[in-house]
Parts: sequence; structure tokens; C-alpha cells
Amino acid sequence: MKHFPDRRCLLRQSGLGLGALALGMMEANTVRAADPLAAKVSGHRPRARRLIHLFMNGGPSHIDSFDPKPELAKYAGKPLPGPVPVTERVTGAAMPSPFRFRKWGQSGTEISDMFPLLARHCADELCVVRSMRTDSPNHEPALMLMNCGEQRLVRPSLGSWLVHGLGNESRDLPGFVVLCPDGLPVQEGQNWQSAFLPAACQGLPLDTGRPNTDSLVEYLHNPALAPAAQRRQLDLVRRLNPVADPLADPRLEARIASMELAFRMQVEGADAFDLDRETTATRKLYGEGTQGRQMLLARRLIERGVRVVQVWTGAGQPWDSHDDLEANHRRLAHDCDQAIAALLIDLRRRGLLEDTLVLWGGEFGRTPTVELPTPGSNLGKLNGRDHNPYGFSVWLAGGGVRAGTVVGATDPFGFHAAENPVHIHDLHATMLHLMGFDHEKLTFHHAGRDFRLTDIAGKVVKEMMAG
Amino acid sequence: MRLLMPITFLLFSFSCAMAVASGETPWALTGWNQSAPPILNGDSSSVRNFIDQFVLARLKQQSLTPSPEATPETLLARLHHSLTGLAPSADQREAYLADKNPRRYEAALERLLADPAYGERWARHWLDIARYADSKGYAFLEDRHLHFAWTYRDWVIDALNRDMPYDQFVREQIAADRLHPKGSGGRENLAALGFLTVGRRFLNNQHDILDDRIDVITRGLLGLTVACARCHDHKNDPVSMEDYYSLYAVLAGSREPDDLPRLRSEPLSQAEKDFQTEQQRRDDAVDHFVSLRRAEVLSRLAQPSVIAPHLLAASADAATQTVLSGEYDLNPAVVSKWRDHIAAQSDADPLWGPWKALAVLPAEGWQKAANLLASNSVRQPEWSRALLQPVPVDRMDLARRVAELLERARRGEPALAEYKLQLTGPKSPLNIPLEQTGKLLGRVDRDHQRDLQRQADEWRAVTPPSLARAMVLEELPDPPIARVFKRGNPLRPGPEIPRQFVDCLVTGAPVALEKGSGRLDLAHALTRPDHPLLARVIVNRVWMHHFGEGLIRTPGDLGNRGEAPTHPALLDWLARDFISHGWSLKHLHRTILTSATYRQSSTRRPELEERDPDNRLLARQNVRRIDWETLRDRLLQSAGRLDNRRGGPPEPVLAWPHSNRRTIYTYVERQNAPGAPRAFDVASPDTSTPRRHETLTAAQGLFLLNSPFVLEQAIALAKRAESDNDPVNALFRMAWGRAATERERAEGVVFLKGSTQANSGTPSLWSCGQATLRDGAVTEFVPLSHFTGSAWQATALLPAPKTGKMHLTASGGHPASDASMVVVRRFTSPADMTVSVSGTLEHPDYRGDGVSASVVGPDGRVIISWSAKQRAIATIAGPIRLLKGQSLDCVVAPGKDPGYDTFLWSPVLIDQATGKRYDSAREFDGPPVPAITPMAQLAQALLLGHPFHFVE
Repeated sequence: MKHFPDRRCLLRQSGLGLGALALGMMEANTVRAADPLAAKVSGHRPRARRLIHLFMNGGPSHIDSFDPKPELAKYAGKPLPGPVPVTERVTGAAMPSPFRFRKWGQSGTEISDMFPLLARHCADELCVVRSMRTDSPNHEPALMLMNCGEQRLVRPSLGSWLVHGLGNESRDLPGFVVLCPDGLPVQEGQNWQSAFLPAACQGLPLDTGRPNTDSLVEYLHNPALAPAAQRRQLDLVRRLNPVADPLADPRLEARIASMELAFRMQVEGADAFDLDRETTATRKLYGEGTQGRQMLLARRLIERGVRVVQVWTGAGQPWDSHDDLEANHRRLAHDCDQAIAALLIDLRRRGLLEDTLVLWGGEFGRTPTVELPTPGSNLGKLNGRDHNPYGFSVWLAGGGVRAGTVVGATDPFGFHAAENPVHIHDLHATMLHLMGFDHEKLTFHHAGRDFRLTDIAGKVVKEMMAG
Repeated sequence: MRLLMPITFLLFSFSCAMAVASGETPWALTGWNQSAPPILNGDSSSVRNFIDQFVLARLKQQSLTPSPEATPETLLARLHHSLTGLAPSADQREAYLADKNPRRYEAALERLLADPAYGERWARHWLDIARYADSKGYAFLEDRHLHFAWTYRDWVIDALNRDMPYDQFVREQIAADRLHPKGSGGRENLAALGFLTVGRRFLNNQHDILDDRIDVITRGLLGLTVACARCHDHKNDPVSMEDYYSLYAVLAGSREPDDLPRLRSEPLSQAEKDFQTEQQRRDDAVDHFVSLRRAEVLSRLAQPSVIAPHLLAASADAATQTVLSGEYDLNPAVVSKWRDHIAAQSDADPLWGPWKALAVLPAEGWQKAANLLASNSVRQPEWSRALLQPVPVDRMDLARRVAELLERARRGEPALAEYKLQLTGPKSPLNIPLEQTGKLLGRVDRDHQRDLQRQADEWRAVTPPSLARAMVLEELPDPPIARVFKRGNPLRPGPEIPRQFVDCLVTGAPVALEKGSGRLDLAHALTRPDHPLLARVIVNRVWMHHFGEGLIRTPGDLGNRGEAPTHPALLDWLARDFISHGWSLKHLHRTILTSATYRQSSTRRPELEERDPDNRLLARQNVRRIDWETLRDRLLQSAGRLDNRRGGPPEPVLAWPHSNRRTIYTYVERQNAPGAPRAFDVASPDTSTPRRHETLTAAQGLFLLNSPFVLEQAIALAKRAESDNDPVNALFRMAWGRAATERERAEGVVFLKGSTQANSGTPSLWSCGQATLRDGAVTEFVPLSHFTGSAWQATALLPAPKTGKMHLTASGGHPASDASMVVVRRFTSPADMTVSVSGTLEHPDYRGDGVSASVVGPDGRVIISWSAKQRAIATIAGPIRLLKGQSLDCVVAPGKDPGYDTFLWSPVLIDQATGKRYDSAREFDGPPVPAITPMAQLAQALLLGHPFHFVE
């Protein structure tokens, strides 16, 4: 029963004390707070310490990007043989991909001309999983499953679990930051909710569509007082509340420390958001648009110790191409291709890719069959695809990932994951494994039972991991 | 206590893992602990009531001594914190310290229990249990406000202030509608049902809504986790799926009526009548549209030319069906109904038989087969010849003939009498029940319906409080039969089970939940005084709020991993005392707060730190950190601005102009909660929360250092103190509730001497407003009055009548729903100059008819306009001459359809002579912050200090 003195010692060494504070979840008065990490770490060596999740919300088409299906050409304009599974809406005949695939890099990974720069520069970094599957053909439950491991009920997000499990190594910034330009994705804040985990584990959403990146964090700047004046205020607080008494409640000192942390964050946090501090060459590498800005910001954040950065394509569900799939996918991919390739190149150059896990993907894929007109829901152009939860692709790169590989396969038309299917729970289990956790042991006791990200499912996919 | 379950069933949260392993009865399921307060030998000077007897006896066992009583000043502050969450005023403090009455403490206690602020404080604790929020959570395009949730919040405050007996308090929240049927008294208690209805709406998934209600009842009231048994018997606790689905059936037997009952019964004023009439008109518009479209769609679906392709699709394989769907406008729900209808017909039926035989044959050789059938079938009755003669050319031809015959039957042709009802009768595939009307409406219709609904909801949002309604449940006439859903899957119902109360909480025979839906029986079963659980749980939680820790330190988890009580006999004695005093919470407060145990000093002692560092034995009080509500209330209180009005609709928590009302009256957003309250650990409105997390984060520090709310209170506090003879001392008194020491005062004076006034930067040249646009002229500019932190808007909450979702952010916004109104970004020129306008107008939604934007010159005339619908366009204009002080307006109007009008447009003006850019996004700004004087800086420093944040 020594944990008060222990914690005090911790705080006394101010650097460490701040580090502990930066965990963001010092349970200041609970008896079980001792060390929320100790029991959670499974013991194996983490291969990644940070996660960047590039969320292509709306559901990008795997058939047009990472999973070539030449068989579709044979059935162009005709119904596919065999039963067509139920998707959100009605689809009709087969629709071959308007994009052209070829093999890239030494690995020969097939990528379409939707992502030319990524293909040219990063193909050998990627582990493409072509046999993903999820449980729902609708956006909301599929988003929830991808982000929180549960379709409907309120559960903590993957990012929240990681911050809970790993703590936040940043001294100046929150542990989980969400970047999304000009609004929120469908299902909004639930995508990064902490649910029953402490609020400090929740994602902090930043609108990267805003021109002033330094105004992204709430209350980061005082509208009138200069730092020097605030320094005097904090010094006065310290003098008025001396912690001379060794028996004083440790929360008092911890509180002072948290305000010191806030004070420093005003300066150093602002630094993280100031893209003007990058060289012209780096800014050119990422490109000038919103996607370039937010990918670069993602790198600056993880560089400064943020554990999880989730980068969304945009508000609503941009990749949801029920019509004009080719034009829409080309535009969206063109907006982010350079930025994503730049991110991987830049991470590699800085030695960060080794222990940063990067995940690219949407909440599901799209049908190999063309979507038929539905009054009011699409424009009836017969050139789009419906949602497909039965098979789709994601890719991973970085820490611990088996680079330059393709895992699993869909059927000849790309409808179903056919070979080595990977459920979302399996993806989560594997990602947690790479980050040093046994998905069955990273739990939180709430409402009478232990909850975990993968509920009662999930298996680690060895094929996705470097040997 | 009945414990018949196998030991693997012992799920109960009270039990500790050891008890389960050893086969002992889990603590929580045991009967009353009958131990009387121990008799203390020797010195009993520190005994004030039986609580102290229990506590001292344990301390003695450990050879520890209790702490001395805290100082009167500390005690008064602690008492105020415990009961009202507010600080004592200077007058109250002085009067208390001057009072020579030996019972001044008890007098203060009674004064506070009678203070309405007591109910406001304790209602907040209860709302954590009730996972209260003013919004539904994610609702896609639906109105997301729970407009009348606040009537439940106000009911809780009022019930606590009236000291409603706790058992009744619980019963009202489960079954007020049954306790107070129409025409009886007590109807104001209907609002209590908010306990069940203010939860998340899960996009209207009924199973999840009911699961949430089961959880709030069982975990919220009993600390028992029944919701675990949704998919399987609880692995460790004695709760079975039968228990879960009994409760499920009870709750599924009620619904929320469309027309919620009014809470007040007084006659309406003319204004109230007018409001109601308008509400009725808007609600009727929705119903009218839906029923009109329903009739139109059904009449189309009954035409033979439409029936035919439906029949074809109903009998086709999936691939053909998808192709058919592309060619014809099919309704999938109706196709599926036709499929069932056809399947139910006899193969020998003269109308359906041939269809069934021929519809499934392949196209190749089809006519030959039809010919064969035609020549071999008995052509009886006469009308049936029309089916196959002449031989139909293809399936569609045959389908049309079937459809024509059905139509002839519908018209009443006597020979076809037996088919008369196939298009119109109750078993007709075209008989779509009213509640499934949504399946008939296409997305265009549904969008229009949603728009009408939005207009009705906007009006509802501004309902005068006097017309507020209770969020009730009402029982269905035919409550459903209880069935277990195998593995939680509603598509796999099991056999019927009896509806009864959770088995492990029942002594003796099962308690049936029979009458009506069983909800009233449930209310009574929960509050039976023969089971200790309900009283134990609430007594433990009340204790927790007075001491910072409960007697069971895991108040939300009485299961396997929950802790056993530190003082089990005390907990039960208190609980029985509570019940025998009529379940009076005020009596319970009185008992706890008058104990010597509560009144101890919180100062730490070396021997305690050594031997009982977690203070489980209660040899001292605990220092308490104030929570979010108390923090915000006290900031307002020290600024002298706390608004004491009680009740009513919620106000935004931190938007400008800042609400000065107590924090319990601020809007609780379920989906995208504002950062500051979350940073200070408010309860998540998604789950019943008996105890909040307590964290320390930089976000808390940033709020205290930089938020306009805190700065505004510091400035007001400084002004208050300045009128005092000794302003520095007054500051300490107002902020910390005590006089400054000599040293503190000296520090304050030195600080003031070294400080200079801080001014906020120059105000932005851009401002936000609304105006009227008529005949190319813009008039009646009014600045937008509310700032949310990122958006300017005309009202505190959105949407509102006329203005709808109108707002402006740095990068864009939303126009009004009234087409004559425009939302305006106004530039006021700092000098004479000629400018050009650039920028991009984007309408990102793929629905709606877009927005139009205009640039309006200093004379109020439109210079140039653009419109954007589901696309982006460049907005280039100029040159435009502006004199110093003149304004240029960039305005946006909605299209004809006021939905889906979110736009992005942040124009930039460029001074043609100098090239200087005036960027409306970069220069977008909130309300100006007034100058911060040295006194205000000192005031803020004190608000940052420990004495403001901790209660000793």
C-alpha cells in the first residue's frame, strides 16, 4: 500500500512527473489507479508504438484500386453467374473496372492508376489485405465496427484503447488526435469515442479545413494575456500554495504540474500545428492541398509523441460513389495520392516508419456489379457501385508489417473474401499485437465485466506480420 | 435468500471473486447484517451517532484514533459543498462564525437541506445514474434534440427538494403513467419516466433502446449487470437470459406516444393556443404529405401494368430480379409480399396455377411449354382461358394477363369473386400497414417528409416552458409475450417464458410481472423492502458523495471484481435506518453529516499514511476536488453573477453570451460533447455512471488559463473586489472563501505592482450577421448574437424557426431556411480603397438544390451573384470602390429547398493598390475580450489556486 508515496516520488522528479501526467489519466483518487498499464501489456515486444489511420470514409472501391478483377470484363453488362449477395441497394450487371492495373516494385504488388505516386514509390512498403470482410452493408454500423469493434452499442474506439493501453508519451499534446477537413464524418464523434474509458483517451477532433492551424486546439491561446503575464500568474499560484507539507494530498502538486503542462503546451503545441516551420522541400513533397496539409500535420503530431492520429478524407462520406465512380474516385485519389506517398516516404526518411503503423482503408468496399437507379438516392447513371461488406481491401505499412505482400484474395469477381478471410476483429487483433498487446488481455472492467476491443472474437493474422 | 443457480451462474457484482470460488453466498445477495452498533468501552467523547460507533470500533481494533473535528470554517464550507455544491456566501460565513448557538452546525445543515440549491446539486448526481442528455445521439438527418428531456431533470430536482421517499422516487421513474392514470392526481410526476426515455436512440433500433433501458434500471438502481445476459447467461453472476428477456418483454410492452402529454393542466393563454395551433399545422403537414403520397404510391402499385413486373420479379431468381429492377420501378418490399402471396396459392388454382408452373421456366422454349400447358389444361372456369389463349409470348405477357384478371376481380366481376380481395383485402400484398409506410416512399419522398418534419421540430424547439411535455411511455394494448432470443438474435425467438422479476433478487416464490405490460409490477418488485439491495446501493452512493469514497468503493460494480464493503454492518444499519425513516434521503444526509466521522479534519497524519494510506478505516475525512458543475457554478458565484432561476429549457454550456445559470441547466450534448466539460470528467451520457473518473490533464489547465468564460468571470470578480476598502483581501475572500493571511496579501500586492493591463488585439474587420434580401437589395443587417466557439449564429441552439440552421464559421456555414433571409459576412473598410473579391463557393452535399451567393456594395445593391449546386465555383468580382468605414457584404441565400444547404465560402478581398489581403477565414473571430486589468489577472490566479478547487 505504498502507492501514494510512490506517486509523489514520481511527481517530484518533475520531468517524469509531467510524463506521468501526460498519460492524461492519472486517476487521482481511485484506489485502483496504481498502474493502468502494468496488467495490460502482454509481454511481447511491440513492433509499433504509434498509429496513423488513413480513413477513406464512404468506402473506396477495392476492385478499382488494389484488387484487380479481369474476370469482370467477360461479364460486362451481363449478370454475374450465381447469386448476387444482398447489399444496401439493388445492383445489376457486372461492371469492369475503368482503371488500369499493373505490377509495381520488386514485390510486384498490383495497384491501379488511381494511385500512381503511391504505386511508384511505396508499393514495396505495403501489405495489401485483399480479403477483408465486415458485417454490415450500411455506413454507420460499418464505421462503428471498423473504429470501435462493435456495430451499434457504445464502445471505446481503437485509438482510445491504444491511448489507454500505451499511455500518452507526448508531454504537450493529447494522445489521440483526429484530423478531418470541413466538418465531421458520418457517425461523428462516435468514431473516436472513449465510451467508458477515461475522457482523456478520447480522440480530439481538429478541423483541418480551417486556415489557421494554430487555432485547432481549443483554448490554446489567451486572447489577451502574453505568456510572460501568465508565467507570473502561475508563479504566484505556486507561492501561494507551497507544497511544503510532505503529507499534503499529492493531487495538489499534480494539479500544479498539469497547469504547467498546459502553459507549455501553448508554445509547444502551437509549434506542432505550425506547418510553416517545415522546409519548402518538405511542403512540396506533401503538396499544397488540404490532404497534403493534414498528412504533414499527422507526421508532426506523431513525431511529438501523439500515439494515434486518424486522418479522414473529409466530412460526410466522400468515397461513397454510387454514381460516377470513375470520376469521383479519380478526383479523391488524386487529392490524396501525393500526400499519402509523401507521408510514407517522409516517415521512412526520418526513421519513423519502423515503429509507426499506418493503416489505409474505408469501412467497406464496393460491389463488382453496377448500382441500379433508386429514386432520389442516386442519379441513375449506371456508372457507380454499391456498398460491399463481403470483401474489400485495406493496406498496412510500417512497424512490424510484412512489407511488399498481398494477404488473402476475393472470389474471381471481388464480391466475397474467398481466401484467408480477415474480419475487422482479426485486423484489430493483429494491429494490437503489433502494438504490443494481446487483444484478449487488453481489457477494461466496466458494468460487471471485462470489455475488450475484439469482444469475443479476433485472431492475429500472422501473414500480415514481418517475421 | 434463494440461491439455486449453479455456481457458475454467480454473476453478481457484489460478490468478490473469492466468494464465488469458495462457494460462499456472495455478499450482495445475503440478507441483512443484523449487527447492532458496537458498544464502545471507555472514551466515547467522539461519538455523535451510531456511525461513529461502527467506525470507532474498527479503528480501535487497529489501535488507530480518529481525527479531531475540522475548524468551523472548514466544516461550513464542506457542508455547503456536500449539500448544494456552492460555497457559503461571505454573509453566511460571518454569521456562522459569530453564532454562539452550540447547535449552529445542525442549524446550517437544516438551512441547506431546505435550500432549493440542494435539489440542483443532488439531481446532478442522479442524472449521472440516469445517463441524462438533451440529445438523442447520432440521428442521421433526424432532429437530434430531446426537446423535453429537461422536464425530467426538473422533476428530479423537485422530487429531491420535496424529499420524496426514495422507493416512491424509483417507482415513479419506472411506472408513473400507471401510478397516475388519466384523470387522477399526481400527473406532474409523468415527467419521471424520462429515466427510461432520455437514453441514446441508436438510430431507432428498438432492441438497443430496450437494452439501454434494462441497463439503466438494473445497473443504475441495483448495481447489477443484467445487460450481460442479452446473448448468454451471465458467466459469473446469477443472472440468466430468462431474467433479461423477462425485463425485455416488460419494456417492449410500452411505447412512446407521438403526442406527449402536457405537464400543466391550466387553461391556455391566447399566445399558447396560437403556438399550439401552429405546431399542429406543422405536424399535420407531415402526416398529410405522407398519407397523400402513400395513397398515390399504392394506387400506382395496384395498376395492372405495375403489378405485372412485380409478379415477374417475385417469381424470378436474384440475378434476373436485379436486371428487372433496372428496367422497371419496382418496390422491393412489395415484390417480396407478392412472392409470399404466390407461394401461398395452390398449384391447382385456375389463376395462379399456370403462373406458378410457367413463371419459373427458362426463357428458351418458354412459349412451347406454355402452349403445351394451354392445350392440356382444363379450360375451366371460362375466364381462365384469357390466361393462356392465345398462348402468351413470354412471361411478361402472362404476368400482364394475371394482373388484368386481378383487376377485373377487383372491379367486382362476379365470376372472379373469389379473387376480389387480392388487391384490396387485408391479406393483399398491397395491404401495407401504416407503420411500414416508409417502405412505400422513395428517397425523394422521404427527403421531403424529413424537411416537413424538420419544420415541425424547429417549432417544437421553441416551445414555451409552460407547454412542456413529459417524455412518457404508454402501455401497448397487447403487450408482447416474453421469449428468449437465442444468442441475442431477435430473428431466433425461443419458446414463451413467464414474465418475472430477476430471480436472484427474490426470496421465496417467483415474482410475476403480469398486469398489463408488467411495468408497474416491476416498479413494485424493485422497491420491495424485504430485499436489501436497492437501499444498500443508494446509501452507499450517498455516502460516497459525502466522503469521496463509498463504503463499497466500487459503487457501479457490485460484481465479481467489485470490492467488499469496508464497514458491512454500518452499511446495513444505515440502510435499515433509511428504510425505517420512510426512505428519506434528507434523513440519511442528516445522519451522515451529523456524525463525528464526517466532521473530522481531513489533515493527513503520518501514522495513517503508514497504516491506512487509502483511508479505508475513516480515521480522517478526504480532501475533495470539485467537479465540473461545481467549478463552473463557483466561477459564476465568485464573479457575483450566478443566476438563481430554477428549471426550464437548457442553455448552451459555454457559448457566448455566457449563460449565468447553474451548470445543471446547461445543454447536455450526447454526440459531440463540448471539450471543456469532458475534460473535467463529466459523466458520459451513454452509460449509467455512479462514479466519475477523476483525471488531471493539460486540457483542464488550458480552459482555466485561456477560456473566455474564465477570463470573463475573473474580470467580473476583480470589479466586485475593487469596490472594497481592501480590494486584495476582498479578492481572497470572494475566491477562496476566507481572508488572506498577511503573507498572501503581501504576495498579492507585489503581484499587482508588477502587472500591466493586457488588451486584446484589434477587432476583426469582418463581422457576421443576417439581413433581408429583396429585389437585389440587402437591408436590415443585424449582427449574429451568439458565438459557439467556432460559429456565429442567431440563436443559442439550432435549428430555430425561420433562421433554421443558419450560422457562419471561418470557412463557410449554412443559410437561413427562410428564402428572403441571407447570412452575411460583412467587411468594414479601414481606409479608402479599391478591392477585388476572390474565393470559391462550394455546395458539397450531393442532395438539395444548392445555395446562391452575392457580393453587395456599400449602397446595399447586389453587384454580382453566383449559385452552386453540388459543385464548387470560383467567385471573382471587382474592382469595387470602398470608402473608409463603408461596408462590403458577402451574402448567402438558400435555394428553394431549404435542406442540405451547408456551404463553404470564405471570400478574400485584395486591395488593388497595395496587394494587401483581407481574408475572411483567417480574420474570423469570436467576440472581443475586454481588457484584463492587473486586478483581473490576480483574480484569475486565485481562481487557479488550490483553495478554489479543493474542499478540505
